[in-house]
Amino acid sequence: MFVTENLIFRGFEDDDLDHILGLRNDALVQRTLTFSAIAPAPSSKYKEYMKTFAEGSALWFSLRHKKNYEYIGFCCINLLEAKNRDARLGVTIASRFWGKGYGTEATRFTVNHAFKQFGLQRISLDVTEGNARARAIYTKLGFKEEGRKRRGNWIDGH
Amino acid sequence: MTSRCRGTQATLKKPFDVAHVPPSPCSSPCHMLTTERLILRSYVESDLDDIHRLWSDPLVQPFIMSEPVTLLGPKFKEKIRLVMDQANFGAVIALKETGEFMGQGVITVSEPKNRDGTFGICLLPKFWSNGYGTEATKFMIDFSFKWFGLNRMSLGVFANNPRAIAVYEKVGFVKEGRKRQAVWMDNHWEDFLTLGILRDEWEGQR
Repeated sequence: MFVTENLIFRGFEDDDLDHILGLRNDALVQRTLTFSAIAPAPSSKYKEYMKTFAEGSALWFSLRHKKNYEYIGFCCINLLEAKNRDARLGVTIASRFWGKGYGTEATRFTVNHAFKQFGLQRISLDVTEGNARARAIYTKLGFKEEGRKRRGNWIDGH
Repeated sequence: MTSRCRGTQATLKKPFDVAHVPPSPCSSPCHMLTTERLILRSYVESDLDDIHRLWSDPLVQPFIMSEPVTLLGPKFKEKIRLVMDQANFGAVIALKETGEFMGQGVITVSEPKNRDGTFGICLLPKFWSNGYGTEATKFMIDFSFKWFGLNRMSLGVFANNPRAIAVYEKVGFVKEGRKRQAVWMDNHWEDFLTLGILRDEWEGQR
């Protein structure tokens, strides 16, 4: 539906599910995607769950590379309570595409689109302390740290 | 859920005491915990009506939900039931002397590996300002750390609920975050505060 410098933003299709499972079972990506313990997800249950989640999201972009249509990741916005005009942002990029600016490009486009089209007055997200790459993107795009849940997540033995 | 209790005098003498057991609302025995002046027990069917009335109270409802304040129909009782059934600790709070329904306290541990308990409490306005909120909160926090092996506890409260904030800070919670313009209520934006207490901090108080 939309195109930026390097990326195509399209809606969710069933053939995304194998890629999404791939993201979930990539140990590097999994820790950015979920707070549950790092472990492989059983495939059919997880794909079913993600299909429901993606189809139910207010805004879901599957990201493809403009040049070769390779699967890059996804961006999604989920609306919370309508009167509060707040939404939750989620971004996941396949690890082999990290460090190329795709995260910034995708997030920037999604955040702008969400504010323009959904009448939001704020967007919220959670990120772990150790995810420096993501935190840098969010800071760059204008997100402000509002809270820090101390010892909120157990990972890697700490 | 939040408490609006402003009491300052309540002190717990013992962790819990089962010696004095007041008249029970249940026809069969139900598990009870007690503090100096309160009973914490599991819910029975008739409590769902009381909790429904509690949530429908115009002084209470704006402070316990992010959804718009509205008339809560009978189906809402099923939501209440679900919350109480799914909680790790779902308590009806009652006055020890008379057994009278006072409110509700709930603790939920959503991700076991993180050992974090989310706490909520709600009391009827007629019981505010007697130290009951502090008494119940302190009991539930102590109980959770002792029995659920938690490493921290969390809660949320709206910034315009100073009585509740005072209770939580008195019990040892520390402000961790402020979600700006988080909720629309009564024709204005309010911030949503998140507070937490770590096990070390709780142990340091004992």
